[in-house]
Amino acid sequence: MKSIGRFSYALFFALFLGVFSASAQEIPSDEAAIKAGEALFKANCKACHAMDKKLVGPALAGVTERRETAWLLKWINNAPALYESGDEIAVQLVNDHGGNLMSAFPTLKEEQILTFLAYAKAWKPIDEGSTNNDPKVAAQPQDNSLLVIVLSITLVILVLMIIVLVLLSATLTKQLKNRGDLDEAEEEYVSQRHNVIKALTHPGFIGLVSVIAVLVGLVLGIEKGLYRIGVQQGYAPNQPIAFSHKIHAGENKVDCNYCHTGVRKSKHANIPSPNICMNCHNQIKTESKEIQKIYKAIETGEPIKWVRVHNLPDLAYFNHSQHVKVGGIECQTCHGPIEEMEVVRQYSELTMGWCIDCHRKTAVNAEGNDYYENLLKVHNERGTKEAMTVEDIGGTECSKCHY
Amino acid sequence: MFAKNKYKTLLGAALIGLLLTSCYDPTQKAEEPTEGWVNNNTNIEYAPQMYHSEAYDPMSQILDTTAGLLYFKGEIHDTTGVGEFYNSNRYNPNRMNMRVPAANTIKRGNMPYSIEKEDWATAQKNLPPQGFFASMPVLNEDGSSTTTLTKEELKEAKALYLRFCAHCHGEKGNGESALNEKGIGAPAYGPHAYKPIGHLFHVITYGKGRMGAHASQLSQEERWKIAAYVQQLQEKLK
Repeated sequence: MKSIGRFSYALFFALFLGVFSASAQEIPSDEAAIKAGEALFKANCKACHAMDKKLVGPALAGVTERRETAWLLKWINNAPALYESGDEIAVQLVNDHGGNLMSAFPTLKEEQILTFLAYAKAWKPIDEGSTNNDPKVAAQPQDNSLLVIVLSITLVILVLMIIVLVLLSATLTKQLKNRGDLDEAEEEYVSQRHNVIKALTHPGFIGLVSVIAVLVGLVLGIEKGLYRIGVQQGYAPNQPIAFSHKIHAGENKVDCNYCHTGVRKSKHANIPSPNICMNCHNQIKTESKEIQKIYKAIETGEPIKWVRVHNLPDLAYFNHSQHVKVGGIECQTCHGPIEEMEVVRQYSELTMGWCIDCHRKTAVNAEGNDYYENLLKVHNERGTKEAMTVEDIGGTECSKCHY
Repeated sequence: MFAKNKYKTLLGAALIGLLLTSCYDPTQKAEEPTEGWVNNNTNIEYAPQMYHSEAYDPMSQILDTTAGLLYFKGEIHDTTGVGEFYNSNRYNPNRMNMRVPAANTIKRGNMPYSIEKEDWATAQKNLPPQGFFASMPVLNEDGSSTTTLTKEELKEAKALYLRFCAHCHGEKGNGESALNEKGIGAPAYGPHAYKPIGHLFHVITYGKGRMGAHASQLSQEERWKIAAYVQQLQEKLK
C-alpha cells in the first residue's frame, strides 16, 4: 500500500508539472498578444520570412500546426545550438533551405516568442480584391481621353465651317450672276476663274515657299542635322546583359556608389566587375537567364563586353572624382533620371557648350575646403557680390580639359 | 513685287534650305523615349581621329580590328594590318586592357588583413590600427567593444554606411529597407545581434551567410569607418 501511495504521489506530481509547463507554453489568442507578435515579426523576422511565401526562410503561416510549440520555442531562441545538437527537424530545415541557418535570438523572452506564435496562428491572407480599386490609376486615362474628345470636336467644327463657307460663297456667286445689273468690273470680279499655274508662279507664293523652305532647312538641317554631328545624345545601345537601372537604383534603392566604386576615387566611375554583382546574386535570382550570363563570365574568366554609352571624345579630359567628390554634383545632374531607365541612354549632350554653360553658372562650394581659400580671397577683393563660379577659378581655360 | 534677280536669290536660298535638311537623320533621336527604348545609332563622327583613344584605355576598349582601317583602291593602306582605332592589348588574355594585380602584391600604404575567414575568435578581438580613430575603440571584458567617434568621423562614416549598407540593412540599421521588403534576408543590427567592431570588420571583409565580401569595393580604412558606424547604430537599437 505504501509503495502505491508513493507512486500515486509521484504520478500526481508529474501530472501537475505537465499541466503547469503546458500552461506556460500555451499560445495566447487575445488581440493584444497578436498585436505584440505582429510588431515582433516586423522587427525581427520580416527580413527572411513572409507569412504566405518562402523567402530565405520558410513561409510561416500554419507553423504552429506543423511544429510543436516547445520545439518552436527552442528553435527561435537559439537555432544554431539546436542545429549543432543534431536535432532531426533542424538539420532537415537547414538542408532544405540551401544551408541557411536561422540566427539566434537569445534576448527574446519566452512570452515574446509566444506572442509571435499567436500572430502566426491568427494570420490570414489579405483579400486582394479590395486593394485593386485604386482611384488614381483609373483617373489618368480618362484625362487623356477628354483631351482627345475636345480636340476632335474642334476639328469637326472647323471642317464643317469650311464646308459652310465654300457653299455660301458658291451660292452668293450664283446669286450675283443671276442679278444682271452688275457693271463690267464687277462682272469680271465675280466670274473670275482661279488659274493654278498663275497662282503658283505668283511672286508672293514663290517668296512664301522659299522662306518656308529656308526655315525648315535651318531648323532641321542646322539645328537637328549639323549641330548633332558628333553628339550622341539619346544613344542607348543594346547591352550583353539586360541590366536594369530602374530595378536596381530605382526600385531597390541601391546607391550608385555601391557598384560604381571609382566615381569618388578616379577619373572613371567604373563598370562594376562581376564580383560586385555576386555580393547579392550568389543568392538572389540565381535562376534568371541574364544572371546566368554573369556566372558563365566568372567560370570562364571571359569578360562581359558591356557597350560604353557615354563616349566623351579623347580630346577632352573629364574626371568623375573631381566633379562628384569635390564638386558634390549629383549623378542625375549629367546622367538624368538614371533610376528610371530600363536601358541606359545618354541624357545630356556632352558637348563643349554644355560643359562651359554649367561651368559658368555653377558656384563653387568653397566652404570647409582650404584649397579655395586664396582663390576666394582674390575673388572677394574684386568687389563683386556674385558667387565664385567655376569659370572664375579657371574652369573655362582651354588647358583645363584639352591637353 | 519681286525683281527677276531676287527670284533667283530666293530660289537659291530655298534650294540651300532643302539641301540642309539632308543633314537631318530622322533615326537619331534625343527626345524622351519610351520604356526599354534602345537606340544603337551613334550619329556621324566629325573627327574620329580625335575622338578615339590611341592609348590602351580599359573603359573605351575597341576590339574591332578593322575600326578605322584605311583602304586605298580596295587594298588595306596600313602597315600594321589593323585599324587606327583598334586599341586592345593583344598580349593579354581575352585582349583585355585591364589586368588584375599580380598575385601576392600589396597595395601601397596598406597592410594585408591576415585573419582567416573562419577564425571568428581572433576577428572578434581585432581592433583598428593605432591612431586610426581620434579615440581608440575599447574592447570590454564581456567581449563587446565601445567606439566613440568625433563629429567629423561620424559624418564621414555615415555617408559611407548610407552608400554601401543602407539599401539592405536600412538607414537606421533596423533592417527596414526596400530590398528587405522583397525578403532578401538582411538582418537588423539590434537588439538581438550585438557584435564587437572586429567582428563587423571581418564580416564586411569576407562576407557572411548571404552577404558577399565587400573588400574589393571598400578600402580597409573605409571598412573600419563603417564598422564603427554600425556600432553607433547598435547602441541606438539596444
